[in-house]
Amino acid sequence: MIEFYIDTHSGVPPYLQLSQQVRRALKLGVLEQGDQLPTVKEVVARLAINPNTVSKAYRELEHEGLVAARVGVGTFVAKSLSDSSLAAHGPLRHDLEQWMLAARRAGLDDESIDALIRECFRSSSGAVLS
Amino acid sequence: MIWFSWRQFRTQTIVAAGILVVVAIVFGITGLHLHHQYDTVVKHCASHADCGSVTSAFQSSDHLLQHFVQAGGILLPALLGAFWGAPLVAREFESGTFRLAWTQSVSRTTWLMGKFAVVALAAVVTSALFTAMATWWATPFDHLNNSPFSGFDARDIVPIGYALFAVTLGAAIGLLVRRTVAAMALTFFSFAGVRILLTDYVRPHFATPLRYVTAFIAPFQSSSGGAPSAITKGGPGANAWILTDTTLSRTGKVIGQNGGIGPNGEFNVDSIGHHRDVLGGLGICPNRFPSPPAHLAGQRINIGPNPAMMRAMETCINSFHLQSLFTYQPASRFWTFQWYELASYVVLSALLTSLSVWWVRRR
Amino acid sequence: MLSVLLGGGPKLTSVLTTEALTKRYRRKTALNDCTLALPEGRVVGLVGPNGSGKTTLLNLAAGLLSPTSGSLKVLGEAPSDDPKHLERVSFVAQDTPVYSALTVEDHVSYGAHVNPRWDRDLAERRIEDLGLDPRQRAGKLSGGQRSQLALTLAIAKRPEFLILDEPVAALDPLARREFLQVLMETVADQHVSVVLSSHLVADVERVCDYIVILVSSRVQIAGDVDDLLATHHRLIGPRDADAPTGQVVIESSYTDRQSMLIVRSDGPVADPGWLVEAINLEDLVLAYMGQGRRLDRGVSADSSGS
Repeated sequence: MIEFYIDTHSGVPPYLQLSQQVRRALKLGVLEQGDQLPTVKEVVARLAINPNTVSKAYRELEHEGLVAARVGVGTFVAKSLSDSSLAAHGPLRHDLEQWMLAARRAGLDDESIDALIRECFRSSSGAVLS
Repeated sequence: MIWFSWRQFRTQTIVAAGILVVVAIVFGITGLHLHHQYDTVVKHCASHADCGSVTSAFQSSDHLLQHFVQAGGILLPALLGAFWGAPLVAREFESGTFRLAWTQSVSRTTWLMGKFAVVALAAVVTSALFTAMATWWATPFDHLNNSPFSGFDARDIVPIGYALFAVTLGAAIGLLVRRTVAAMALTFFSFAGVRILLTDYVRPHFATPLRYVTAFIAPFQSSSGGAPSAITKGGPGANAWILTDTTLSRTGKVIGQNGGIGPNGEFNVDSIGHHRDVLGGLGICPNRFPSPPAHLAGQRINIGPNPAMMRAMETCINSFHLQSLFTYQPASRFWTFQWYELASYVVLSALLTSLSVWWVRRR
Repeated sequence: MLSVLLGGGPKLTSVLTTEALTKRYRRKTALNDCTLALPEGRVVGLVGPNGSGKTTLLNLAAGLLSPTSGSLKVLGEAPSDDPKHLERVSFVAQDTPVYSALTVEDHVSYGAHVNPRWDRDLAERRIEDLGLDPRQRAGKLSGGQRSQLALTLAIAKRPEFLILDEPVAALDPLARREFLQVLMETVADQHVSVVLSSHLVADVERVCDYIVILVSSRVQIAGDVDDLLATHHRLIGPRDADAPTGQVVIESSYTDRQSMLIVRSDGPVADPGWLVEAINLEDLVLAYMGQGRRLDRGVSADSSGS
């Protein structure tokens, strides 16, 4: 079962954060096809947010075909997003951890690491798209 | 709503019950003794020579408790009004709980009447029990008293009416003023005011007073306008409630009030050294006080009436053939008046209740 | 003053409608010419500075006050003393009044006795979940516990409309969070419309999907939160530039080089001279609060004849 959280200062609307978290969980294989998402009631009882926010997130996910609502039962994952690339996660994660150690040993602080990663990410996204 | 009103009132009920139990015990023990005393010693003492002293000795026994019984009877309704009636609604405004109560699924009328009913019932029962005990306790003294009307306010059934009215008044004032302490004080004093007004101006007229005319004959018994001996001889009777005692001339002109001559019966108070210009212009009678000796002239000294001068004055007054007019209520009307007064206060309570209901719905 | 309603789609019924609603006391006007139509089934936030008229509006809606002029309808009817109306609306007043000498259990029994729709199981479950001792006197409860008790009483009545006046203002952050959790769970569970007032925009942002901004006794703006955020922008441009056409400027501030405007627009901002940014709810509320205050002072200045 996925555990939601809301970051009020991220500037991202709450419903988007929820649907992003679901997509992320799907990508990481934390959620698989057939798994049940928490009910709207459960989510708001924990997060103290408006139920419409949760409903909106679930509707969007349903629109994308990622989840399906079964009336009276709940909302279930319709399709896995973890694909063949999931297998690559393990070694990639390992490489990333090694890189992190190297960066720290080189004396980079958190901000520098963050800036470096974002810069590479941005330029690589542009490269991929073009 | 009745259940909840009782629940809110639970502490007061327990306190009242506790006090009544204590009172019952005290009254019971002392009262039984008093009744026994009366029955054995005083009741039939007319045959004995020392009846007078025995009676007065009895009348001064348990003096403190006698005062408590009378004062308690007078104060109890006022206290109930202030402590039970005033906070009833005022407290809900002060603590803000009316915002909880008025948004439940009952109308404000139901809410108010539920509270009223509980407090009214409690006040009536408390007052009835206390008054019954007090009336029983005071019976020996009342037998020896002249008029049953003298203890009217604390006997039998009227205190129940007072108690009902007091709590109703308290609740209404609390509703208007919305501050508990202020409402309590206001209730106490306005209740007293109403009681005085009704007692002095309404009670005498529950039934048309009877009239009795007799000759005004000096000498008179007391010098303070008290009931002259004429009354005991075939007139209103010793137990009656004398409302007015007016002195009339032979032609029926009013020349005095309160059993004397002049507006305050000032016949009884003489100025020193002057002949009394008496009888409202009917004539002059000699003074009963001698003039002070020459060497004390000009000073205010009361030497005291001279018996011969007294008799001369009285003979002179009687020569004018004055009359006394009494208006009174006979003792036989005591119970009728109790019912009338009870009814008056019940009607007042009903009016106040309607007013309160109207007022609470306006908000 | 113009009161603007921005809707978020067709609203078939309104849970609270007011028409030029005004409440005046001897010396001050608590609420001035308010016209609103709050959609049902939402959690409506009533925000504004202290003394802006929030409590007055909510007390009027709860039937505890009557208007000086104008009208209001709650669930389609004027607030009244009729038990049939009273059972559809619950009110939790500011400072959550309870009967201090009576126990938690007494309060629940009270609710059961006087409310026909009372849900006894719900009440008992809530008391248990809260860990409240039924025999505890209400006066001895903490602030958070008292507000939870008041909320329980309001919820177990099964109303259609729940009115809360600053329910969490005096609570610590944990108690606040717990209160809102229960409230949201209830909204998810029962079909109930909620209006709650608060001067904490952060809470409103979390739980409300419709807001009303009340400043100086007047409604500045009311609408769907999503719509409001979509139609308000922050514009940054050079100092001497004219404001783009078709925008209503809510707030403006200037440095020697730059202008910053907060505007409301119905369409996209076409003027290329301005940098357009999204705005968050707190800044939007602050902008309207500032505008409200300025208008209020402007009105006073006019009336003094200057």
